[in-house]
Amino acid sequence: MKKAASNIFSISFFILLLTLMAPVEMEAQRFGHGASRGGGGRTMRSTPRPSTSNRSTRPSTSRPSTSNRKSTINGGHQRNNNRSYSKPSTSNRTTNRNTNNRAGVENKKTDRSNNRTSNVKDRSGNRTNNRNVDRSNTRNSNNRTTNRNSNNRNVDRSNRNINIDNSRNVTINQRNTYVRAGYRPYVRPPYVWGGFRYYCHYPYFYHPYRPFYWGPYYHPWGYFVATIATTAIIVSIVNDSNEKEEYHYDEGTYYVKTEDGYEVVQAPVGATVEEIPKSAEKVEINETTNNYYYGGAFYEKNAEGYTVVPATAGTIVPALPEGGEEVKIGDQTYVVFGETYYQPIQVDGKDMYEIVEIKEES
Amino acid sequence: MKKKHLILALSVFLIFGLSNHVHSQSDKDIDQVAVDILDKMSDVIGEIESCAFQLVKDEDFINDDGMVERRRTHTTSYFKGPDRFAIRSRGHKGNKGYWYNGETLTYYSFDENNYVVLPTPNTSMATIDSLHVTFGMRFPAADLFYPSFTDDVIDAFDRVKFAGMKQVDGKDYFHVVAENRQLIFQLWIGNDGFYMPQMYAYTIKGDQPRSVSATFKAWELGVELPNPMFEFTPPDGARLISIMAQE
Repeated sequence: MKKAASNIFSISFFILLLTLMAPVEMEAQRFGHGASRGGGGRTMRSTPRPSTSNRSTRPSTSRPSTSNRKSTINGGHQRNNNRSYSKPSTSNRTTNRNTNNRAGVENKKTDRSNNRTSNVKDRSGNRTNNRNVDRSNTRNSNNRTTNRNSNNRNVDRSNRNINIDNSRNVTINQRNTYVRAGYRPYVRPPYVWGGFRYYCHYPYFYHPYRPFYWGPYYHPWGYFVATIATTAIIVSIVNDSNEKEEYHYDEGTYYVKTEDGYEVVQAPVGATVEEIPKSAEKVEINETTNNYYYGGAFYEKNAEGYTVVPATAGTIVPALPEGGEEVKIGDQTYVVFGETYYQPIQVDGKDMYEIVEIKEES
Repeated sequence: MKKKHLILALSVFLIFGLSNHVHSQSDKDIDQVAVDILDKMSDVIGEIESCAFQLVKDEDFINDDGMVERRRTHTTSYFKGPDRFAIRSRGHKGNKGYWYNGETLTYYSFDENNYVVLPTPNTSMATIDSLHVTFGMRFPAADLFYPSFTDDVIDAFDRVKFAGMKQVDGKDYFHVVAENRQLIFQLWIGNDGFYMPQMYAYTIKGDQPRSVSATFKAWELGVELPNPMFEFTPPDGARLISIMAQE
């Protein structure tokens, strides 16, 4: 009796486990295509139809060999021959079924001049394909080292060629690209895509991303110099891990000392400097607060001078520095710096960017 | 004793749970005539080695004022063999194109002059499915081209009915209607010997129902399509950009 009860328990548990393990339904185009995916995507079946276990036996055994298959656009109609409708079972119709095998590929062109593919990003910041992400820390836990595969780019700025070697590791400090929530409520409905809502005050208005050059003292992130000007000052901050970090600051640009020189990095959040370049622009955060914007960094004015602060959603900036990446999100294209997403907009006929507030759909 | 009660409770739960599951499956109401018509259409599509068609799609869209607005998209599609397609689409979601050559898919925005190139599975259908799942891309009338379309309809809908022969603009159509809790799907298949889809419509149920309707124009079957049609050449100044995957 005890053994029987134990068996019932085991069987019941197994059935329960199978029920829980049933695959989650996936929407494809407008309705699901569980059958086209091999019958595994759906759990709901009509009773007169065979059980899922019967359906799973459908492929391969009676399938014609691929050598005889025509090169049809969808590989041929796949029909569940075990449907229990009144159709006579004598109809031994053969249909071409396998979409994964191809025929008629003899003319396939393999030599293509453009073999580059796009980077695929996800919201967690992981990148695949051409981009290798090394998550090992270089300076603190918030740093992310991204190995860019694009070749050296020659950036011509006002007749001066600056050679930026993007094959080197460019450090993106995520803490510096954190976005604070906006102060003003959004009247416009958000752009919804991929489980997230993208809020902006202005409508999307695409214009291509062209990094801005702030002047002769400005250097983009990742730029290397062997020596820095004697006018550079040392700026220290304490990072989230309670460790002291030292930067060299000169005319709006922050450097970190490396073995072979100095590397330009993002303005570290929390750093305070007495002066910022005169070309810094005032940007409105809310009705009573302004920030100063220079080289992609936001500064708050206080008694000690100017302190680097995180970006605030809803802030409108006229230009973006080097180091951003244009990313297609659904039908819209944003410029992304770490965690900061800039939406291209137009204000009074002028191309601008608005910092997007992103919320996960509940 | 306690263990016995636990086993009994679990068994009762499982029996009830399973019977409910079986009950929900038996709620299906599938019309054999409708299934035969869908099979016929899928048989024909499954034999096509190349085709070209145009699609005019009208879709309800909730605008910035929260109002339902109807917007139109024109699409021209070319399919060749199992591993090539080219699609050009103009409408409220922009002016864009897709080129698939069996190895990569290029998604190009004519409005923005930027493009995305993605490595893909090696068939058109697997590529369409993969891009939809990973990047949310929707291809015009793609549902109808899935190789197990009839079984997909039976899977997805609780009721599938043949609604009779209908005449539109002097032509005869088989009218099939399918319904589930979220969606009503209607399909008109030509009674002209080719059994190709001629029109379809979706109604998305809810507090603010929305509908999508589309009409196929200029079906061309077995048309000669040269391979270079499926290769993308970036226009001057076009930028290769990144793309965000869905969660």
